[in-house]
Amino acid sequence: MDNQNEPFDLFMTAYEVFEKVGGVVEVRSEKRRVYRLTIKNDFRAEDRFETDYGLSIRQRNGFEDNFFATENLRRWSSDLNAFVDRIKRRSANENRSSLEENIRSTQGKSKVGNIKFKSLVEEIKPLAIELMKIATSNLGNKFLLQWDILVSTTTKTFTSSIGSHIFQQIPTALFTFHLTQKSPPFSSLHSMVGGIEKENVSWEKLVKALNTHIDEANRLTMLESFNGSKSNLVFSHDATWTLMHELIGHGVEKSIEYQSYLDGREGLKIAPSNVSIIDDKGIPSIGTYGFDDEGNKATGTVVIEEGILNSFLYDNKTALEEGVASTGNARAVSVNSPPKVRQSNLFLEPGDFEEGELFEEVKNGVYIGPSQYAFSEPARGVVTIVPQYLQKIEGGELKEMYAPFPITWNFNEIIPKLTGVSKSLMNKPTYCTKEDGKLGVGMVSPMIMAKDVRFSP
Amino acid sequence: MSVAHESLLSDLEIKLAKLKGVEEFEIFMQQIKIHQLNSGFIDDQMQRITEGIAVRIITKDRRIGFFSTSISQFSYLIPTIRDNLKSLSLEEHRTFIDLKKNRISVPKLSKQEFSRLIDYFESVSPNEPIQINAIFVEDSKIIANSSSPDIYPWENKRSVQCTVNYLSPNHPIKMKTQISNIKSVKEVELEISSFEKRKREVASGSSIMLREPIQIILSPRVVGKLLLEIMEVQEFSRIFLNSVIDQDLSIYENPLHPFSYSSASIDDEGLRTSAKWLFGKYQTLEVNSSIDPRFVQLGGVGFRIGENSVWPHHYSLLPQKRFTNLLLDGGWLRKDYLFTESNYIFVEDAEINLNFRFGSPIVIFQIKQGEYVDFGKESSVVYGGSFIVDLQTIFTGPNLTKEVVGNLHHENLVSTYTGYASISKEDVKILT
Repeated sequence: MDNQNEPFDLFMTAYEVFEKVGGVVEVRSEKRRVYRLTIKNDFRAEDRFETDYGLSIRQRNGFEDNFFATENLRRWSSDLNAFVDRIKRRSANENRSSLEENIRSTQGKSKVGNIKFKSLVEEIKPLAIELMKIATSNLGNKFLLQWDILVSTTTKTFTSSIGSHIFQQIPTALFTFHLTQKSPPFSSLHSMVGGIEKENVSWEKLVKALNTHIDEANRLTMLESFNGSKSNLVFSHDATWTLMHELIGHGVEKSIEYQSYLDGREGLKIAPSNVSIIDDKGIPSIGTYGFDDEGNKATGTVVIEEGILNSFLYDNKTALEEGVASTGNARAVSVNSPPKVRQSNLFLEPGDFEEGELFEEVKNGVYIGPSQYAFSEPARGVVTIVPQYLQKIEGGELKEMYAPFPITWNFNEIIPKLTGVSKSLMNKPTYCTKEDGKLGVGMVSPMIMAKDVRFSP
Repeated sequence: MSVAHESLLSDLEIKLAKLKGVEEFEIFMQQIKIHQLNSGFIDDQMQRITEGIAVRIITKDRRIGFFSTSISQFSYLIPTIRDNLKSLSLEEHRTFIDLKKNRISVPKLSKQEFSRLIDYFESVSPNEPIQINAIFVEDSKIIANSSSPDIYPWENKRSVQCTVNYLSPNHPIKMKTQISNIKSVKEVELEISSFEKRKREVASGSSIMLREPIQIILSPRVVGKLLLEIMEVQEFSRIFLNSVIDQDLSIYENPLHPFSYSSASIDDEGLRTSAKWLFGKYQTLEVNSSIDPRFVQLGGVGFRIGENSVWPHHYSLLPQKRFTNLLLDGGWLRKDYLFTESNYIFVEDAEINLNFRFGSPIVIFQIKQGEYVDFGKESSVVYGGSFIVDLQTIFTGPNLTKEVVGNLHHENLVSTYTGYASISKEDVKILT
């Protein structure tokens, strides 16, 4: 196995801890090289270089976890021994359950993406400066502009006391555009371009994204208030994905601690037949991985198939609780955190409508632009989305901008009313923040329309 | 920080001084130990040791670069700096400021009491459905720069925080209490017994959701979250504070508050901190980052801050202007009178989002934990539901209490000292 760069044999470390405290012992290591560049409209560019290495150990004793992570290898042995002593103290009277017997060992190597760290770091800054020149010449002084660029390469290993050995390399390149109005109502636009392949940050893709922003920004000055209580809606690709990610995606992340409104509804029809959703770890995006952080091989999980709730997303612990197999969704924010059930790339299957047909079908209504932010309550099945902008649809055509406002729906108010899905798909990277940190997830989504939906500021 | 750290620091200083092209440098070294214990329904523990170095350099042509590494990758630091010196872009005519003298702060929580608290939380085994989560933090930093050879200001902190959750039978959180800056076991025992009493009072009441407008009382934690949000917005709109906060209110920043974990006698650039008056009586003061020598007299405000992380991963972040302890003063209401209202919802914790609609800012609250009180009847737990309030309605003297309560906001390690806020039902608009 290719872990010759590790400071010592991680499998032996896992085995030694197992000898002392039993259970299942997992050892993860993570080495990251990161380059960050921030450039603003005065062309001030700030460079940051990071090199990190950390190790973590998780000892699983029945349903209890003991987790230890460190970046200090000089004191590694004494810190670990102190931690092992704590495990012994805390688990002296505990009953073992059958988690250990249900975890299988895995071996493998996974390398995704084609980004060369050093060459991309050299190429990306001139691109960013050129894009800033285009933006400032088109937008003048009305907006604060900032581009945030991240290029990283992560090497991860996973070994366990039951014989797992996994080695993974995952590169990432992200280019984020931020535009904020300098005067009230301080409207802002932002979008992220990038992924795990060099083509994701090509000049053509970046210019296309910037031109979309310039067009949107120039129209932001004509914001009107929306008056009404119901409307037909067309969701942009981004807003469609956000709705599904918040309402369905977080709803199917199985948890022992928290309830979901979808609990107990497997096999039931919960959405129209034109809705199919897959949690896909294989589509090239920033949520792609070969193995999850518990060593399970990453596979695609059909979450909703033609409107029928097919499966939740599981890690080892929640899978055992439900008597099923893990779906490989145990993801850790970094080597310093234990993994939890999180989505990877959420893929919404395309439908039959051309984009233009969606607008013609709706005739009069509102177009929901990309989302500014969104949050949900999985226990109640409620989502709140704040779009970056709204736009009037009149006679099947896009007209003036509406001022955005927060929109809250419960599941039954919006999902049953989805009547059309577009053929066109958008594949973009984004971040999802939940509890202890943010993780990269891929959004692969069509546009959708919904009719006669409660919609008011 | 140990002798080994100081020796590593002086070794790095020599290497940087010898590096061709480097004119000035600043070194920040940090060690954070976090130990988290969960007892009750979930019985887990997590220990994390984060240790690293960040170096900021200024080249001969005044370009600035930022390099960070975890301690285990120390040997890669100098080669990485050397390889990337020529590609740096940010040009700024500034210099690292002289550090005054070695500044050593003694943690307010002794090592012995810290260990006693760990032992206590390790042994506590609450009956279900109570869940106890305790976090122990030891944080040390040491700073050096090329303007002040042989001066290494450093600071140590020790802190214990605890959350007690009351879970309903199928485990969403029904009620919780947070205790910041725990100093003794006795203090925790008292809080847990008081929590038990409150739990019994609401346990028999039903759980409800917010459905129609009602008198709302916001806890100091929620008002504090809101204060932090608006202080962030005022960064780029100087007129903003004047338009949303009553002129009779005052906002102070006090980094030397004696009872707060966020207090810091030096900032992350090694400069002395001092108290500042940020808002009051028709005037606002601008607080600039101390990395700019023109504003050094305002006191160090350059701290490393992380986004969306329970305890920020400090050393790899660039220092930026950050508050430590914010105090909102000037409320008129008496807390005792506030809670004699006949019918209200007390919002203990909520997610908040500021939203601007044609310059008139509104706040969206999503209730995470609340209590419905109907005079003469049993209280009920409120879980879920969102509502909107105009921002100006909250920050007025008549709607805030005189009494202020401190809250540590884990997501950015800033403490706020604010009162309770009362919002009449006419000012509440329900979203769901």
